[in-house]
Parts: sequence; C-alpha cells; structure tokens
Amino acid sequence: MLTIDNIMETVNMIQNENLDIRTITMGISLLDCADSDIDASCRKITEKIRRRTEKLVRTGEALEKKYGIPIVNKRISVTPISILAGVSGGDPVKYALALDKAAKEAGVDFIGGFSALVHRGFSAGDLELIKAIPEALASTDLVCSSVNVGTTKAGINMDAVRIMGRTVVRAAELTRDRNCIGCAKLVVFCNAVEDNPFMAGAFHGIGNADVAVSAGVSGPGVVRSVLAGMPKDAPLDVVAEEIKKTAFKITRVGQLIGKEAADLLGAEFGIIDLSLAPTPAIGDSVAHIIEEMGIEKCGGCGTTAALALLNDAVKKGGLMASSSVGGLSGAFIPVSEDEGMISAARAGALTIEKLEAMTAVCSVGLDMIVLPGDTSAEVISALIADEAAIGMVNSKTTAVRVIPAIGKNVGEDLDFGGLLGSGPVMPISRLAPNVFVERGGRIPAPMQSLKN
Amino acid sequence: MNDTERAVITIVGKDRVGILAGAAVEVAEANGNVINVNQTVMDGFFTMTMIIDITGLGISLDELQKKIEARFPDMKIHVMHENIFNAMHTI
Repeated sequence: MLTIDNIMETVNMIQNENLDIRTITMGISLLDCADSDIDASCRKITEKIRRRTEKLVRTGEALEKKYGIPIVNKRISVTPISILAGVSGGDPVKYALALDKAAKEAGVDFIGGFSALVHRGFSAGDLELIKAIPEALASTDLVCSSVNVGTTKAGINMDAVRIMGRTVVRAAELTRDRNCIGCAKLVVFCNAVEDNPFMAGAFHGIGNADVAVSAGVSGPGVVRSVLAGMPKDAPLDVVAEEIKKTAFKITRVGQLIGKEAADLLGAEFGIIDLSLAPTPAIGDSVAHIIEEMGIEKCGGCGTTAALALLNDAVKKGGLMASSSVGGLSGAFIPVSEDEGMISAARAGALTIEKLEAMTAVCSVGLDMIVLPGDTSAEVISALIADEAAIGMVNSKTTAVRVIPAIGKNVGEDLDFGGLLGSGPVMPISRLAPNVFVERGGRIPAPMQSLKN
Repeated sequence: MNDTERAVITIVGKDRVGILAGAAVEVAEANGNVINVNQTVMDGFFTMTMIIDITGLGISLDELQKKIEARFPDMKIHVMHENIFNAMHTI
C-alpha cells in the first residue's frame, strides 16, 4: 500500500536503521563435477561456477539500485567437497584452491562448502578433507569450511569431535600471523542444515536442486528501533507482537529480492533465512535489542528468556512473510560481529557459560568467540561436545566457531576487520576434559530421535 | 489488472524554493508520469513522496536518483520501485 506513512517507514528502515539484505547466496551442485582425476574435477568445478555465477554480482547490484536497499554480500555455496574428494582421492587442498579461484573470479565475498558430514561415521573423502582443513583455510582467502559431527537422529560422533578440537587449534596455528583468521572460516555443527545462506557454515546439500538462490536479511537495528519506540512498561506479549510484525516486514523484503534474484539468474528460489544477523556497525546489534527489552547489559540474568522471546517472535513474523523459510532462521549471537556483544564481553557481563545457555534458545551457537591462545584442543573438543549435546537433545542446529588467539590472553583483543569484526579474548574453564574426550566413540541418539 | 509499473521518489531535507519543481522536471525529462505527490513542510523541514509511472521511463531508477541528487546534493533522496513497499505493507 503506497501511503506516505508506509513509504517513509520503509525508507527510514533502510536509511537510519541498517535494514539490508545481508546476503544472496547461490547454491551450486558440484555432483556433476566429480571425477576420479582430481585435476579434471577441479577444472570442471571452476568452469561450472564461472558459468553459473557470471551474472550473480551484477544481478545483485541491479536489484540494489531498483529497490534502494543494500545487498551487502553475494556468496556461493557448494556440495560438501568431501564427496568429490571421496571420488577422486588426492589432496583436498586442490579443491579449496579451485574454489577460491572461482569465487574471486565471480567477485563474491565467500564460498562455503569445504565440508564433511560425519555424524554417523567417516566414509571416503571425509577424513582426508578434515585433515586438509587447516591448510586449505590458510592457503585461501574466500573458502569456508564446516563439519557436521552430530544429529538428533544419529547422536554425536565423538571421534570426530576429538579430531575437530585439534583441527581448530591447527587452523589457528597456521594463520597465527593473520589474527588466526583460519578459525573464523570454520564451523563445527550439530544438525547442520543444507540450505543455510550464511557463512561460514553454508553448503549446498545434496537434496537441493542443481542451482538455488537463497537470501538472508539483516534487521537488528529495525527491531531495536521499534522496541525503543514502545513504552518501558509494555508487557512482554505486546513486545513480542511488535517484534513479530516487524519481522514480517523485514522478511518480506528478503522474499521480494530473493525471488527476483532467482528469476533473473535462472535458478530455483531456495529459501529466505529470516535470521536477525548483526554487524559490528553501530545500531545493528542483537545485544542492544536484549538491552532495549530491559536488561542492563546483555549477559545478565534474563538474557536467555529475552532471547527466547526474540527468536520465537522473529520466526512467527517471518514465516507468514515468505513462501519458503529455511536456513537457520532465528537470532544470531556472533560475539565479534555484534557491537553490543563486544561491549558486554569486554565488560565481563557476557561469559561463555551464559552464551552456551543462550544457544539453547536461538540459532547458530557459540559463534565468533575468541579464546585464550593456549586453550587446549581437548577443551575445544569438549566445548564442541557440549554445544552438540544442546543441539541434539533440543532438535535444533547448534555450532561452534571459536578462535584461539595464539599468543594472546584474557584482556587482549583480536581484530579481523570488516564484517568479521573484532573481539576480546574471553575466559574459558581450564579444567581438563582429556579423559572424556579421548574416549571417542559415540554419544547415542536420544529418545527424541524416535519420532516414527 | 494493473500493467503499469510505478516507483516512489522521496525527498527529505531543509526546505527551499524549487524542490518539487526540480524533481518534476527530472521526471518529465526521463519520460516518467507523475501520479501522486504528497508534500509537507514543518518548521522548515521538507518531506515529499512522489509516485510516478515508470512504464515508459527512458533511464534507470538509479540514474533518475542521481539526477535529482545532482540538483539537491544536501537532501536525502531515494527512488525505489513500488514492489518493495507493496511487499512490506500488504499481507
């Protein structure tokens, strides 16, 4: 409806409240690029990505101009590379180099899918890929990697968890002169989804069409603004209702652009991920929404409840707005990418333990958290196991993306620049979980898995 | 069935003589047809929304925005396709 109020509301959201399309992500299947000769496979991959993404960045720019809304990132996600590595053998780092080259040619910000799904065990290509992750992330700029170690139906592969603790540490070591950025491109998942458009966990699952375009919207600033305009004694169900309506509007923009992008690119329309994704920019913070709801600083008591309300309201509003919702769809709490989180962590108000509780009620998990540089692989593995257990038992996606800051300790900072932001080193328990982690094996699937 | 395509121009900033006229000239030169204009000035602060028919528009919306911005560099100007407003504000 073109009334002056509606028009000015929309313009205001974009101009003053940081409403933007966080990403349009083109998911491309590389199954038809599999080859027993790794070099042939890499050539096919570069060629297919080039063909499919020729117009991706230009289409994004054209839509930005048509609708006056920024599309911050254009990205690519691909079939988990472990599958292709399983077919070809050879050094999986070659695949990473091919992906990096293709992504740079296409002009995108990141390419996700250097991934393996090992929740039930390892098969051809999986271990080789996982071993190659640290080097792959150190030798490329745009490649993102993920490993799924558990699901509600399968339980948790604790052998994989043990290996991934070491992988995270190694990825930090190999990039220690670049702020350990390797770890910022690596996610360990439980219940990973195959249509996530956000990095670093995006991959194009094998259930998808050959090419699909998905979008993620970003609107924490808009939600916070709406809350700031409400009276301080508004009951929480009224707050929830306002957030729901706002989420509807935000998601509608994503739907409009995602669908039009897919049509222009001749691809299937994938999903809208209606996650509230923060950026380090002022006014674009999820933590500030929590504080606007009435908690002195994000991380204090009440934070988990507030986040539960926010996450749910965003989903309800967004669901009505889109024909196809998917991905992670909830509130993101990446510490280094959220101005309010950074401030709360620096002040000691937000701790890893509290973040762990928060991951039980929202999407993503322990994300972009900087750890002391001497954190052991076993502690990281145990942290992954904790997070996977929360996801497994609650039938939700959880993940761990932590960065051991080699050579730094609590009281110091790590700065990645750009959208990856910066973060303080956060204290973590130093008690030894080594015997637990070394046991390996499997944490069996819980009762909730028996739904048939 | 509505076959026409429309866009919305918004101009916000400090009031002065000729804003509406200037915008209208750019629209006319681009072969756009003005359908609706809503304008208020409060305490010297100018807000205008103009809905235009762009079915025969000879330049892109981005180019139209740049032309209007060139006339009024101190004002906040947006030219956006109507779909975004319809998408956001209709069930």
